[in-house]
Amino acid sequence: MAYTIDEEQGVTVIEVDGELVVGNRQDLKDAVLDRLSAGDRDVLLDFSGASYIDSSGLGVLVSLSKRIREEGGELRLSGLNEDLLTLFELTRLDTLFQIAEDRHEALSAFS
Amino acid sequence: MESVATGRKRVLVCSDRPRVCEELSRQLERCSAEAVVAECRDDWPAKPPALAIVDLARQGPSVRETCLELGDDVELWALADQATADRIVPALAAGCTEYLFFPINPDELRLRLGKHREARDDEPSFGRVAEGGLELTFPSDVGHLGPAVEEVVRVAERLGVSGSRATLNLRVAVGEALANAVLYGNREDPGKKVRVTAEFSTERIQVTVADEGEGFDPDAIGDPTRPGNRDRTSGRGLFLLRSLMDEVRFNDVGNRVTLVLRT
Repeated sequence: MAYTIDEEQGVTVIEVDGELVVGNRQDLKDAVLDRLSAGDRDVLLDFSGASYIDSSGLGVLVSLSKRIREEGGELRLSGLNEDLLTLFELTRLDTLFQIAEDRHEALSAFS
Repeated sequence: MESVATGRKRVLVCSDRPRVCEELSRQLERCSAEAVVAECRDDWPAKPPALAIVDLARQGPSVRETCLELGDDVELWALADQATADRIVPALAAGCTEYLFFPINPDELRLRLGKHREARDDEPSFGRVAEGGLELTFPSDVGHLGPAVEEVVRVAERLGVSGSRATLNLRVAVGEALANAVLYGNREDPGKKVRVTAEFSTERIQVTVADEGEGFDPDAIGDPTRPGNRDRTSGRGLFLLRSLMDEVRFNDVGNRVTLVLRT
């Protein structure tokens, strides 16, 4: 997995490339928590370049979602491919997360 | 902007073209591999990774010289583009075992990387048990999960399983079964092994994953899709296994699971 962190329209945008799996999930979690500690609140995780998220990766997203809500922020996801969307639907996580088709749509939805 | 990459397989990229280095590094990262870019011999790490990719447009030493310098422990692939396509056959004759085209086809790179195995004792050991069958054993280290899953999927795809049945159902289910074996079965004890047996036929794929742990009761794991459970941070692996496979069977102890996917 590789990720890049940027800021667009006041939102912290993290683009995730490759696979978010048990071996690297903590890296992404630490990165987001670092930004929360630095004062960031609204976070967009863009998975346009991601091919796979395993159950532990899904668990990290759930954990981050809770933490960001507790801090008064908002987490949105975008760019999930068809297989990843199926995983979110199977696990009903599509009801827990705000999922946009692409980054532009997600950014415009932040309040 | 900050960039961070973590990867399992390291690949030496021998090219003096920035665009090639950048694109190849990006594609390798997408395959969970790490690129070590070397414009010239001086940039090589003290011990090169077990795989190197040499740009056929590179100035300087020939492919044969590079091959000899890297030694027998390093597999060398050629990278060609339209202008250097005529150098592929000489590169193969000089010691390259594979070739890739630039611009990189991500699916092709992933497939080729899945085939490549570093010849180390702690790497998963692969042994075909029979035509259409596969066995592999590896220590309980999460770093082995990706290559092991890719190997099972690669064989399935070669035997005609395609689309989401391969990329989603088989890949996710085998990945979750292996992760369960490493994390919860063997508790990441490197002295304990995970054994995988896969049998492929025209009707079905059967994958058995066994660990050396004490086992568990699969019926004790709650349904993560129930409203009160949706914000739980774990417990989805077993659910995904059952959702994506046609059959899931555990032995009595709970340290061996058999997955069946009808093709």
